[in-house]
Amino acid sequence: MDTKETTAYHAVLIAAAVIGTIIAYFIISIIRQQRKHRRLYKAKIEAEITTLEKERARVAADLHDELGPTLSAAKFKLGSIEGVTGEDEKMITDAIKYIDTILQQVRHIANDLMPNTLLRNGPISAIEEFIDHMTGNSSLKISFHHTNIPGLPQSQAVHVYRIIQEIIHNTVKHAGARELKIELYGNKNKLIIATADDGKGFNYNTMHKENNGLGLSNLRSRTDILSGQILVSSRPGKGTQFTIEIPLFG
Amino acid sequence: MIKLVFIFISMKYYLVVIFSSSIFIGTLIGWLRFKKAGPAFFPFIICLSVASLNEIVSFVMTVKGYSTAYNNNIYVLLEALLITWQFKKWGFFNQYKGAYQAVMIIIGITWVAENFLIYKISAVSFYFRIGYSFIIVLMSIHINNNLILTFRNNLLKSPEFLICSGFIIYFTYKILIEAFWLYGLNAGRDFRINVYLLLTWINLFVNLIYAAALLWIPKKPQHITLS
Repeated sequence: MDTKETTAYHAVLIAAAVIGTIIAYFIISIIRQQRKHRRLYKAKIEAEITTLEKERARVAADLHDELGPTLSAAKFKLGSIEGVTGEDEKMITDAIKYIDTILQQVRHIANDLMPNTLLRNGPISAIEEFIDHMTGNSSLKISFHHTNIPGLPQSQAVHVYRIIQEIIHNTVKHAGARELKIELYGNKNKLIIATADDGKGFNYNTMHKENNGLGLSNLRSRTDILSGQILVSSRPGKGTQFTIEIPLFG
Repeated sequence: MIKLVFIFISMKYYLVVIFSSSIFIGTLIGWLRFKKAGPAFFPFIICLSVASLNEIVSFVMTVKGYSTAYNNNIYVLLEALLITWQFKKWGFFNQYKGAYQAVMIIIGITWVAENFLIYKISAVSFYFRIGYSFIIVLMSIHINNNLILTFRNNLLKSPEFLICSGFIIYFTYKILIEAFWLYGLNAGRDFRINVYLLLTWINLFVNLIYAAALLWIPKKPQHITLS
């Protein structure tokens, strides 16, 4: 190369080095910012959902431990009153019936907020109980199979229960399905939640982009907290399949 | 002395061939993973395969003493179309109805105009190369920006992010090198070979990024069925 060409070649090298540095800085900066954003987002969602679950547990405990016994005491007192006339007796019986209904509703609300079975016997029993309840109240046929489930910390168990609860709610409310199959199993160092229904399905990309569907958003948030991955396959008229993979640490 | 210069140039040529051959790694990984990964990256894998084929054709043409301009000009057209198709698969054109068809038509018309109307297909199509490289860089930046906000796992494990970063690096350099090449058309062979050698270093680096990206393509989910 002559002097002019050598100068031009040096210009190429300098330009290449400058561009390379800018691109490298740009990409490294993007990755660092995304990591930071992801960490903050996860911490925010985790704080929100933990607060929500604590509040639910507190309200459920208050309903169950304070309002329940008070109502039971009121019922007992009413039962011990002897009416003077037949009309009095009927009023007392009606009042006791009302209190029974309220007690039942309070138990139902408390259980919806935070199932006692979940806290005492773990997620499997709570899921089975919830499925029994839903099968009794809707025409959806739900089958649930579980194998090789490791012991889960309570916070994780609550999320797993809520994810399955959300999928069942969504299927009942929106899918118009006749059948829902749920499988929960441990596979190597992962916990897998797999579901399939024969409902009307939906366009996942449209739903995701338009940010429609609070249920879907809840599923994603809880899966994120568990550092899991949610895989959805759904097409209009072809049903919906969810596969959620949750890593098991330790 | 002349013999020494020839050996030096030949060595550089073989270096270019060896570096360019790194495309075969990505192509092989792409086809090995294709069945498990599904059709999401099909255009990109086809593009790598076409690039591999072009490397072989270029090598044979050079050894036989023919110009590689024909096959390279056809290759850049296929590359531009296949990469644009890949961007469609990544959802780049979802928001703009008809934009995909418009970009494909513009690419086709520009290529025909440069290779048949303005210049000949036997000459290297610099303006087309600079133009489509610029479009690919812009599309890659858009996809990466979108991934920063929506991707919830480690970006370095996202094949889209890695491939788009590879595109940004390679095609930015391609624009720069093609521009200097255009400037150096009347310059000596040494200058042109040195400038091109720079691109082959970048090519080697980017081909390794593509290979890593193809290794990260997630497997098709194994959903359960009702039956």
